Amino acid sequence: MDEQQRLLERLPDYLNGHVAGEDARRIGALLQSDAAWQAQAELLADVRDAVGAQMAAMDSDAGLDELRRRIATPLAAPSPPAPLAGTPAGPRPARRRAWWQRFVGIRLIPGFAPAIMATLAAVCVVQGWMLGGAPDSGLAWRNAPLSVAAPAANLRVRFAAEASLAQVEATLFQAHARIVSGPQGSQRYLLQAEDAAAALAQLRASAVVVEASAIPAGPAAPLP
Amino acid sequence: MSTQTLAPSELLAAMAGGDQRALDALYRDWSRKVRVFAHAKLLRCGLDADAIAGEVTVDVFHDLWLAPLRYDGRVEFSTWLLTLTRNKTVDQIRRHGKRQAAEEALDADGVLEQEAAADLETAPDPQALQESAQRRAAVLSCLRRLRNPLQRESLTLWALEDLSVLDIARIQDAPEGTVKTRLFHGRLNLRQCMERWLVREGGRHG
Repeated sequence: MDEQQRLLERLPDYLNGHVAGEDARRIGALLQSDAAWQAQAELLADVRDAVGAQMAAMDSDAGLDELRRRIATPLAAPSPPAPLAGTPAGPRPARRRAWWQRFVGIRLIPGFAPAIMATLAAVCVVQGWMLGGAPDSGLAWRNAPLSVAAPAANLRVRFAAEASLAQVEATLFQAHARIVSGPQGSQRYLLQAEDAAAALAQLRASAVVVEASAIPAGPAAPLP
Repeated sequence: MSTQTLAPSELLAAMAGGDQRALDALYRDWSRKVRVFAHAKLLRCGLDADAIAGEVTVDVFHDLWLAPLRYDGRVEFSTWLLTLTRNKTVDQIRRHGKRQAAEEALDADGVLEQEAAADLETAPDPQALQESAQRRAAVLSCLRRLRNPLQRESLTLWALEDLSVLDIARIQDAPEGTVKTRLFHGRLNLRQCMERWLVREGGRHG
């Protein structure tokens, strides 16, 4: 860089008293002797005068009332803090909230809580009245057992493969027995009869029964 | 407590103790500089520079009142305060959905400020004003119309508070060399604008 140019760039600092030593001496000499340098200094002096006049035309109290008013109302939303000097962080852009944040931000609950509670109570009263005023259908509520025990089988029987459904029904009717479970393998059924011995005799006498036997008493037969 | 001769740091300490008179004194001492700087920054942003500069000024001092001890003395108070002002002003520009006037390429060839010349047509009547007042008006007008807003900002900061180039660089968050260049080219553009004004005024009176 040209030495004159370097010194010229230091002229603003010189005029504000921030240049010392050899540079200050040389700039001072140039200002004494060089008309172009004098013009530069004069221009900067003009800028200083103009800015000074702009400040002087202002009222130093302008805005002070507004400031006092803001201080007196601490609930007024303060501006976000600015970064410290020396750490010249960039300004923070004003963040616009998303639509859903604004929606959530609508505080309906506190203002409308009495109305909402009154509405819910009214709905409960109306439904209670409707239930109480319903016609009596004669239905009664009964408890239902949570588990249903299978009836205990006391006979095991195997019908003939060619036996018809009617023949099987007739045999069971005569023996006063009913099917509890089956068919299992090989046309076997588990039966339950009030009189096991009589039923067993009846079944053995039937032409469609191939095999019949009594089941000793024990735990209930498992469901199929 | 008399607040007439207290340094800014002392006034801030008093403010930390809740003394509102210290805030008043600080405001009277510094608010005009804050306002002028904010105004210079807001020019040509498409906003009401006067109104928003006033808003920024109140905002800056309100922040000082809320946290006066944020100033830790690491830099000159003026540098710190004007950095705060600059950040607040940029915030305001963005809040209003405007762009900052962008820094344009340096006018290395010294392109004349055409808009400044046009603006000077509306300058105060030189017949009715003192010569110095005319000149100040012309300088301000040329300053406002500088095409490069950072040149205008640098020159305004330089004139406001005897700041060094280093201080201006801190405020603008820019390298020192960049600020020197802004000041140099700002002067060139300003001088050309002024010469044009002088020629026209000479013609008007000649």
